[in-house]
Amino acid sequence: MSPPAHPRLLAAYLRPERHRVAGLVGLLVAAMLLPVAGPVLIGRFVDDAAAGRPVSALVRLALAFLAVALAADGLQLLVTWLSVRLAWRVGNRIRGDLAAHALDLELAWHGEHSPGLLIERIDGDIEAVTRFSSTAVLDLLGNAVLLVGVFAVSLFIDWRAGLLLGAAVLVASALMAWLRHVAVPAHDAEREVNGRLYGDLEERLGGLEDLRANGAGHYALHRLHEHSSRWWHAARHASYRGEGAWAAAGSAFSVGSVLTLGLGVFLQRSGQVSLGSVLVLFRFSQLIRQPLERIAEQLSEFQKAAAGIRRAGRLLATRATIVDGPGASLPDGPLAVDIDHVRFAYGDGRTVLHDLDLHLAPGTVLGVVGRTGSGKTTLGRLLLRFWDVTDGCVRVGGVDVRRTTAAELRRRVGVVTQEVELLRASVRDNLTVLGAVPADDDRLIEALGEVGLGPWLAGLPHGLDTVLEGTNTLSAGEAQLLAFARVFLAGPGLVVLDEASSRLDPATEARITAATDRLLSGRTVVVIAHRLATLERVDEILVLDHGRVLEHGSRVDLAADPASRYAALLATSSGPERTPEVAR
Amino acid sequence: MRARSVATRTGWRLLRTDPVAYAIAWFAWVLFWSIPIPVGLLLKAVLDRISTGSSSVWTILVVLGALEVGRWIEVLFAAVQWHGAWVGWHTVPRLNLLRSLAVDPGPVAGRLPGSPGEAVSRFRDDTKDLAQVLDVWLDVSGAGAAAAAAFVVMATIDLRATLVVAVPVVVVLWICHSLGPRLRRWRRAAREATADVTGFIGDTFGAITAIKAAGAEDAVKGRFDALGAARARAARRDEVGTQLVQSLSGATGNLATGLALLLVAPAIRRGDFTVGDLGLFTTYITVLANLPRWAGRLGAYQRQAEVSVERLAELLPAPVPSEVVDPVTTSLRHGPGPFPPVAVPRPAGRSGDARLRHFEVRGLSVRFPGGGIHDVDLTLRRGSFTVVTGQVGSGKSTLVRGVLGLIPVDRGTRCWNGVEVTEPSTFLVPPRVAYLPQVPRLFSESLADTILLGVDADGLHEALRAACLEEDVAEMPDGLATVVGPKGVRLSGGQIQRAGAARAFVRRPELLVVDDLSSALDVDTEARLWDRLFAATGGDTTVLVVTHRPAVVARADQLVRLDRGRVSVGVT
Repeated sequence: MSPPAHPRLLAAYLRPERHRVAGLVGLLVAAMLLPVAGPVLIGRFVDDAAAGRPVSALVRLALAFLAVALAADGLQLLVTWLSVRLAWRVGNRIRGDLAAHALDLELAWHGEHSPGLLIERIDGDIEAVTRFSSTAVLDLLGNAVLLVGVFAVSLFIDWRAGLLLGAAVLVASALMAWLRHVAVPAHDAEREVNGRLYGDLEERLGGLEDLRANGAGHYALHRLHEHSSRWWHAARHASYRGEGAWAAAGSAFSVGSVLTLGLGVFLQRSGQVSLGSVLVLFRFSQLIRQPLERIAEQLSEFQKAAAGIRRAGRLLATRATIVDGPGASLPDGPLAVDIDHVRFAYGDGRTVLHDLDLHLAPGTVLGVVGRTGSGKTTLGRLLLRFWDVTDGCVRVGGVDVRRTTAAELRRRVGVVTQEVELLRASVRDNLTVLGAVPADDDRLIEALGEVGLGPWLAGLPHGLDTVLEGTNTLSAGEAQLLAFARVFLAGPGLVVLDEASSRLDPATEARITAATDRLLSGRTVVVIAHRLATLERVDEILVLDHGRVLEHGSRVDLAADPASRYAALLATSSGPERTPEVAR
Repeated sequence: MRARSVATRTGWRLLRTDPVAYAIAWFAWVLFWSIPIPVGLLLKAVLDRISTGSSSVWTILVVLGALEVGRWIEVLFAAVQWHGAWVGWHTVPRLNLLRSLAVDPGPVAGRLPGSPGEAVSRFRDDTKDLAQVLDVWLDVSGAGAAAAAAFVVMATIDLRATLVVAVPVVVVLWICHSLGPRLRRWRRAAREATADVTGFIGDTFGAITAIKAAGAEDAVKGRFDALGAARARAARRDEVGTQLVQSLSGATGNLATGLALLLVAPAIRRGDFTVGDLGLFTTYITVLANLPRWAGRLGAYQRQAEVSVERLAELLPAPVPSEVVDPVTTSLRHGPGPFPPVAVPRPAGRSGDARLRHFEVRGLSVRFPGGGIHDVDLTLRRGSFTVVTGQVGSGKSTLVRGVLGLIPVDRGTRCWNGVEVTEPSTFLVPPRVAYLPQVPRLFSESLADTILLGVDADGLHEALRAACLEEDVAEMPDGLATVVGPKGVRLSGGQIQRAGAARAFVRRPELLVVDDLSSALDVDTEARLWDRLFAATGGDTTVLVVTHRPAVVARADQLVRLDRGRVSVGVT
């Protein structure tokens, strides 16, 4: 499925609503044609007064004017009510699709797009689109109808005056259409500047303590100064272009409107139209100017919306490079792991893993050691298919990870990452990740108990409904325990523990050792660890250095072989805490 | 009513931060709004002359055309000028708030709303609401001046008709006013629903790895749609309510015109009221009818701003709305110029109180439900290495954050060389103290910038070396210019922590406070880091470190073991 081209994107979202849109347009046409009758009635009023008709006839005309005008206003309100509903339905649908699409994009992409920027892309941009489609598009359409109605009636009064008015509208519209193209890039640039401003602000606000404690507050302020100054220039530039279009069109129209009045005077003097008709023509030129001003005003909304929808289109057109395979399902129980001659390089060409070949039987517990940057974390992420290999192949349970779906893979493969990411949501939502892992409250309480968080849970004011708001309710170590509980709940056949116990003090670590043992049994586990102590229960050891396997074998054998790196590590780390540091 | 005046007072103070820009915008808009007044008079002249068949009207028509075109040229100038002012109105509160949060004394913990996403919405939407008040004042003054002039001219023609025409205007003003409180409630609900959505986006994409690892994409989508639906309900009510006010105002003009026609019918029949007068009336009624529309907007924007000003003030230590708009240099036109790097003198060259001799903490207590610390005493002598240890949840991080004044404390004093520190959050900062949190926050800029954060670069290589980051930088294709990505995602966990260490080291602190390096560094790298730091400073570094690593504990001159917030062992 190829993404729709930008201009067609909004149309694609409006298509399911076409019946409602049609009904709305019908109401709108009625609401906008009624006001055309107003000036005609006033013209009749003037001519009848001049012709000496009785006051009662004039009063009847005045009452007719009132009835028509107020009916138009009532209809207008109805149209607004319906259009606002429509706009929110469509807007939320676009937002939902953007959010879903962004969720599907791989971690590398998220590394380059901060959450603040995504708020702007998913919400800020679409806000402009929604506002445009709820008020501006109706203004545009309704006022266009009004223009056509006025044109038709003035043609009827006198064809030359009608043509002149029509010509003025055409020239003004053509000018606007042309100048719009000039203005759109400037509005794009302004939004871009704003996106960066908010992205930067979001980061600095998230790291306030780091800023303060390092005395870097003034530097953050300076950056806000810089971004604001850039916005000032971008906004004025965009205004110069955008309002320039508005002013040019308005001037062209004003000239046309005065010419129409002049023509009316000329025709009246030569006896071809009545005095009332001159007034009607002038009222029309005023009636027409306001819609034109509104159209011009909404033009800037349109420009913003166009920029927004274009960026939405770009986001939707960003293809995930990691896409679901045909959907092979993974076997039940512990999963075998096969890493066949895998090479992995990041987009910038840095090769992190070189020809890595590794095979684990189901139920094996593997310990991976190596210094930071040796490729340990990358290895774990390949198993979860957060990245795709550059060469070679990763198979889990005998299935190439590229042939299954992300949902299936992540159902069967669990992970505890270095940095535990918590949602600002209830304990329940954090455990089930917003309900992705189906589990009832008893099961949740049991899982928390298994990792030793039972007393912590008991101390929470609202139990599982307590909202986690950062470290005030949860220390870093407790967060890690919570991540353990997440894995317990999901019950996967392969678990990647990425330096999972690094935040735990020895006492706390002891609290979950038993639980970890239970987690290890009946599953394949890859433990990426800093401390040899955490590897006492693993079956096999893999020593990585600079993306290459230095050593791989059974832990018992390696420990017994005095020539092995692992034995050397054990020997050098005789202290209470031993290190897997690899000599270079 | 008191609340409305908060918006007015805050807006007025904001206006006065750049009165010249506002005055220019004000004159430009009043002029723009007032041009229809002469246009109406010229039209009356044209219509009266042709109805009596008198002399030439062509000169008048040319003037009319020139006025119209002039109006458009004038509005272009006004709009560009206005956009600059508009940016300024946003920038003043933003700078004040960020200064208060990032620079001013006092702890910031708990002052920001839950998520950074929601905090951004304060800086983005709430400042806009305030700016809109200043904007609507321009339009109301313009529309008001034009309406007053129109009223006077009309009254000289037919006082009775003019008064009747004014009736619908007044009635609609009253209706708009009495709808106010309800509209305000709806506005608040809509705003909260929006914050829920943006906060959710920020949270979710901030935890994208966890979401993906759990395969929770569909669950997120479901939650997002539900929040979106709730927001749509709130927003619909809010928008239609606002539109109701607008439509009522629109109906004013029509009602006024109809009433005028009814009233002048006998007079126009007698010839007391000319066709020119009627032309003028219909033109001016359009001007008058603008007034309730803008006055309605004035009310709506003021109400909106009232909520926003309160929300902005909540970010301040004491919610004083006027401080949101303290005068501040915005330097928008020319930019702030390059940031002057902060020079960090070498410790050897420091004397007096710039040099730490001893640092004491007495009776420090921080209370929060289910935790906190109680009556902690601590003495740090120059050159000593003090280790704080204890179980998860025993209050180790709370202790160091409390000492530094990053969180509010209930009780306790800190003394620098025997002198009590009254404002720890601004005193216990570089070059006196540097702090390395458990998970340092890097910002998406170059590695060098996110380490230096404005500090002079002359100690950078030394700091990189001490932080064991030198080799990593050498392997990066762009070296120190490598852009680290949001929160430093393009670096490994260990690199992030060592970059944080470099950030602290480059500030050459008298006292270094470190909250647990073991979360991302293996024991050997950590040992190397300490060795290098001592080598770099010649052993003359005072350190307070949280750890549970025996290897680090072994280095301690002094050990503080915490148990449920109390010092259980204090060995020297």
